[in-house]
Amino acid sequence: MVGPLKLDPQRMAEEAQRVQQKLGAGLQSLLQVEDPDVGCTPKEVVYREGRLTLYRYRGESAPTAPVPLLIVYALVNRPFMVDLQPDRSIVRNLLAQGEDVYIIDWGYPDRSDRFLTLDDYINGFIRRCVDVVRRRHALEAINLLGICQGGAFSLCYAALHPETVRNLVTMVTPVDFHTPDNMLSNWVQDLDVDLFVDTMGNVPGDLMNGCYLALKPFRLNFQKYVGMIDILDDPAELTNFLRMEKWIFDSPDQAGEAFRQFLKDFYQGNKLVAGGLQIGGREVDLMNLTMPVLNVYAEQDHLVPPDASKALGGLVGGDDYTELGFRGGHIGIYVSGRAQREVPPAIHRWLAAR
Amino acid sequence: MSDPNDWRRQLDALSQQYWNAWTSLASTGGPSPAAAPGAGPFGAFGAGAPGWPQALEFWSRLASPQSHDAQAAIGRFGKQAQEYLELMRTAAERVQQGAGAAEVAAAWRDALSASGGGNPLLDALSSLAGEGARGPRQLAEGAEALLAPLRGQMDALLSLPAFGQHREQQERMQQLARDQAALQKASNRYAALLLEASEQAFVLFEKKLAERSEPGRQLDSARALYDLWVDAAEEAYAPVALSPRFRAVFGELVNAQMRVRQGVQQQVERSCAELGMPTRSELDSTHRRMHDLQRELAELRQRLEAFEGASVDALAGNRGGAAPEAAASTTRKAAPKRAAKGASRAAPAKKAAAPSKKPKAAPAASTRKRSTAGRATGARAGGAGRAPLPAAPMPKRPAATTKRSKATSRGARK
Repeated sequence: MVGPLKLDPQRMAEEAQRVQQKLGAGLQSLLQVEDPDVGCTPKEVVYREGRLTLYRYRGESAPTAPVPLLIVYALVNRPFMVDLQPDRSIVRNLLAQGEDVYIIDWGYPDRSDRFLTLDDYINGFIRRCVDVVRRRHALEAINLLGICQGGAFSLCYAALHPETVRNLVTMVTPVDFHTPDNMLSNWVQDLDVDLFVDTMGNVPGDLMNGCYLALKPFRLNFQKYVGMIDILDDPAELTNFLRMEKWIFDSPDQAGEAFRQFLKDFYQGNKLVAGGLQIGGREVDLMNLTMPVLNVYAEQDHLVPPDASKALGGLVGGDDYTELGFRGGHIGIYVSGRAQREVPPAIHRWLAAR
Repeated sequence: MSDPNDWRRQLDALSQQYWNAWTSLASTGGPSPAAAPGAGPFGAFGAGAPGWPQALEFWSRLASPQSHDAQAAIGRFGKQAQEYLELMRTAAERVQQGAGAAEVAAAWRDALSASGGGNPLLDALSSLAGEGARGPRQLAEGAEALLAPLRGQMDALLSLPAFGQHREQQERMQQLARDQAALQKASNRYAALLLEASEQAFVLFEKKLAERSEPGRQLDSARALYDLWVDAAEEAYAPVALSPRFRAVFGELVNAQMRVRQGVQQQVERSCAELGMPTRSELDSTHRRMHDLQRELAELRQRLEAFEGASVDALAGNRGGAAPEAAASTTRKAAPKRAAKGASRAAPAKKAAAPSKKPKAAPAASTRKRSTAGRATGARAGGAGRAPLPAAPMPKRPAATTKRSKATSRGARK
């Protein structure tokens, strides 16, 4: 009968020595690393409004796509995840494919933004950004790419203003918020959202971060840092790690009223599926999505389970609907090496065919 | 500033003592002289030898990167790695050579209890706090700091009936005391549920260890043991976190925290008002008015654009931003040039199109009755009042379009 452990003292001593060497080397590495830069692709400001900035990315060569692509990111994180570093940039790869890429940077709301509503974000900011891009290119409609919560916003926008959206791409976008494997959704069902928002005002970004870490507390809060020992002697890997850390913890506060409606109508009411969602007094009917739709989801997504995204297929009004499953997680779909090879070309091919 | 090489030498010296203990063990096959009697072959880990946690604490003090992001990450790393190494040390003290799955799991539980407490899940969730993250417990702690000075007053008033001039204040304090008691109960229920999940984690851990109890599958490093524990803990946590019970307990906890927080805020608001200081209510009122004014302004701009066909940038003047890609404004006069540009952009797409059956739904604006009605009534949220664009034709869609299809990222699109 053997036990589960085969811990050889010599080998454990070697492991201990390796840790010691890594820590020692880490002292040098840490003195070398600077604050990691984020957002590697050049971009120019084309429009500002309040905290919002609309950027246009500049690739190494002029775009060849006839219709520009506007990325609508979530409010809950910073958008530079799609342009994290030169070898981990969905944006860079889209530009290389010939796409003309714009992005909305929502900025950092403060208490003076407390009363911004989903109507302001969707029928206000997004609509005006779409109009700016349309005018710049003299087009009636442009392509839209919504990511995560930004995807949910894009669905609402496109359903309310379908004539301005030529093609719609959603990435890791929650549609059905009541799938049984949605942990975040489970946690908020019994929340008194009105009490929460009336008390907190804006929802602090670090509270949102705490919730995300709590989805996998041991892996995301313990194991990840134990694994950091392995890269302490590699300044380049250490910088990459710190860059991801910067993104993870750099979360803006959420405007209170927008958060209130998002939680009540999307997470609790599941109104994209159940119906009855109103933005600015108008009903959002996903049957109005008659433009072509590409829905990209991550197969190991613990934040937006695949079924939560795939529900879109049964709700859109058009016939041209494509699903693309990516073998990875919610973050890996942007930053993994495989994502760089697969996702931007797939999006470009799909857009080029339409 | 101290020489980093000095620091490194000190760290090396500290670690060398540790290394000597191990080599002694390896060469003699028994515990080092410094080990406690009966401590088992791994007793050198703890008894008499400097612990890794001490070394790591020393290291964390030395590691002072200039980068703010690196400092924050070092803070998180130091705390977690220290706990990991302490866990390894304590577990190794208790594990005997050839121990079975049950003994190893028991030793692990003892190590966790020694290092942090018997509720590893609660500890894990509580340790989320740090720069950039807060959990429910930290939320409560935030209110607690303000609540402490009021507690004496609350205790005194709890049992008294509320009447007289200060009746309302007394009732508020009594309510705050009740809310705080409710919060404590909710916290206890949350901790109890997590303890259940922690117990399940130990059961799963022992099961996983038993599965490894055969040649070729045994764990051969401390890290492998730790990783197996993480697998077990997450596997135990997930179904609990997805359960209706957790939903109810978590909701109750957060709602209770909000009530306490709101009660404290009301007390602070009253005090500020009495001192003539700006209050949250006043600021919220001001911000709400600002927001309403901004919305009204945006709507007016939109209507003006609709009537005059002027660009937003031209009217706003000082909104900032670069000049548009095409001609500087969307005046009708410039439209033909941009139309030509649009057409030339569309040409390559047209040439590239392979003949195939026509797409069923063309994005013809004329079929969208809803948006047309929106424009007619001037409704704000319906695309109404949008400045008319120059009459540029949309690039034609290539004839080949894909209907409903599902693909994986393995390359096949259909």
